[in-house]
Amino acid sequence: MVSRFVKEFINRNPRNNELMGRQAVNTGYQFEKERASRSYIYKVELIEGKSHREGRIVHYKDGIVISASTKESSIANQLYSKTDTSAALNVGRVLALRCLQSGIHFAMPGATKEAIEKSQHQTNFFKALKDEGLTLQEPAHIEHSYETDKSFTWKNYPLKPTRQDKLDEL
Amino acid sequence: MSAAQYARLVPKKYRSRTLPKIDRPWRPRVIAWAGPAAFYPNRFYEIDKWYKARIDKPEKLPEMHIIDPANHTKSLEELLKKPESESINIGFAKREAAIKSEKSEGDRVELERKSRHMELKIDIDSVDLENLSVYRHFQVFDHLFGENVFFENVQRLEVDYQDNLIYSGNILTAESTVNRPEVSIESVGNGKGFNTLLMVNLDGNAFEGKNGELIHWMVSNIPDGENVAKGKENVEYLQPLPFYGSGYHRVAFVLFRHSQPIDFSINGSTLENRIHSISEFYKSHENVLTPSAIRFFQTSYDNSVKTALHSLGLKSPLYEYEYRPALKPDQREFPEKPQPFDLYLDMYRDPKEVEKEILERRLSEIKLDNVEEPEWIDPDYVENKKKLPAWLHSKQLERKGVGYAKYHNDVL
Repeated sequence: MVSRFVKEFINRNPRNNELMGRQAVNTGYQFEKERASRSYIYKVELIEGKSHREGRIVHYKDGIVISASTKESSIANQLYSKTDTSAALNVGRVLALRCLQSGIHFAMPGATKEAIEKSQHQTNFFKALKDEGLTLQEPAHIEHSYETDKSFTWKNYPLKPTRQDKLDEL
Repeated sequence: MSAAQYARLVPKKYRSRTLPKIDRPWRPRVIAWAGPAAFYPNRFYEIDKWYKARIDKPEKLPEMHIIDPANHTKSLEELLKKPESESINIGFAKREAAIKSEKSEGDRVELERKSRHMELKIDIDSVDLENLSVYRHFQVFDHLFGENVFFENVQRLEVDYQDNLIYSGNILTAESTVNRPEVSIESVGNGKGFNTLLMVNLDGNAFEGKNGELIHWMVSNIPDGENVAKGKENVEYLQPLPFYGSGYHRVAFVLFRHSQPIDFSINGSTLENRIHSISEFYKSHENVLTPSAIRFFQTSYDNSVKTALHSLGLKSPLYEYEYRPALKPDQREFPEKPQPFDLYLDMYRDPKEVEKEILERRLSEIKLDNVEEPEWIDPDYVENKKKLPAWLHSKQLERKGVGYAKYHNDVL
């Protein structure tokens, strides 16, 4: 019997579209003040607790995927304090390594630029992530267009509101 | 009808004494238009038909849109969250964490000094990774054993492809996986017991009418503490085969423990025969097999896959991602809102026609396989700007979409 490949192959890997760059990123809510804070596939954040530092990778759908924390004894054993700046830095290093080991190479920072600049912990945490090889920026996704899909024969154009639509704003 | 008209139409002999009303009946028309309330004495209110004997008229309150805050305490995130179901551990109990080490006073002073100067760098390789949420994130357990099932990594399993270690989903090129990896398995039973190693491609099944996963390698009955070569190779090693255009495949190494040697009858003679349902395989040996470790990596197509498929006597299938059809409004002669007519009409063109047009343009340049984009897209810009209509000119100038594909798409 001749083996035949299926015509329509389904890749069950739930991360496939994200890896291939096809997954469009959420745009955030329209009336939210910091709309960009929701547009990510993975975001990386540092939780500064009362007695611990915890770094996390959050997926936009699945929530927390990877975390590294001073609660883990193997990290805490090698630290002087669980809450100082070097704890934040080392948590960042561990987290970056775990990300790369899990095939996550891009993540958006989960704090605003001002917040990072203001805090030594955040600054060192993100710097450690960068130094270990995690890119703190996500590549733009590939748009659905004629280049990727031959049935998409047109160019997307913005439909601007007419005077009639905006009568109440006049 | 007026009296004069009546008089003109009807001879005197037949006229009635009074003028008949032969107007068009307008009352039903008004009722049809304005509803039955049009001729009520007070047409602005509903008629009050309540009989006097009734003591009090029931109070009729308008139905209000009531928002009960008790139903709206959850945030959107909570509402969208999937209901958690309890998952079953099919493996061993989790290993106990390392015992906390006591630091001496001298160590602490040194640590403090380093820490203050931001020179304290912990040894990150010694920090072990046992993070099951990654496996859940990649749905590895779901697609191996079925839903709501997991097991802990309790045995150290190192799979090494020429210095590319396998962790939990790191990405390897297909080329680096051509040769079988070096596997080292931690001894946990003091020489008793056996290990069985299974290498499975969770996304590699591309055969019609077959259900299951593709087994790439299976070595069974490896005595505890011994090398993989001491085991029985039930299925020979085959490199992962992520087909062209099919994206990233997850390839998992699963380690099972069993106390007695088991004779697995697993057929792996051809690529098609390598497909087995892992959950069924596990179910049939559930009583004797216990999964103890798992690692997986992701890999995608490169030329080594084609060579491997050809050496198996198969053709390399070419897949292309099929997008969900893009949303577009039905075409109308007069769309509700004004639209740019050229782009609007482009939306409803037959894709085959568009492709034909592009191909014809290429053929006119007699360079089918290697069309080069001209250095200057429009040398006669000033002339064309004056002569051509704006939409046609912008179409000529466009560098995205069809305009880009004109020169950069492969003709397959």
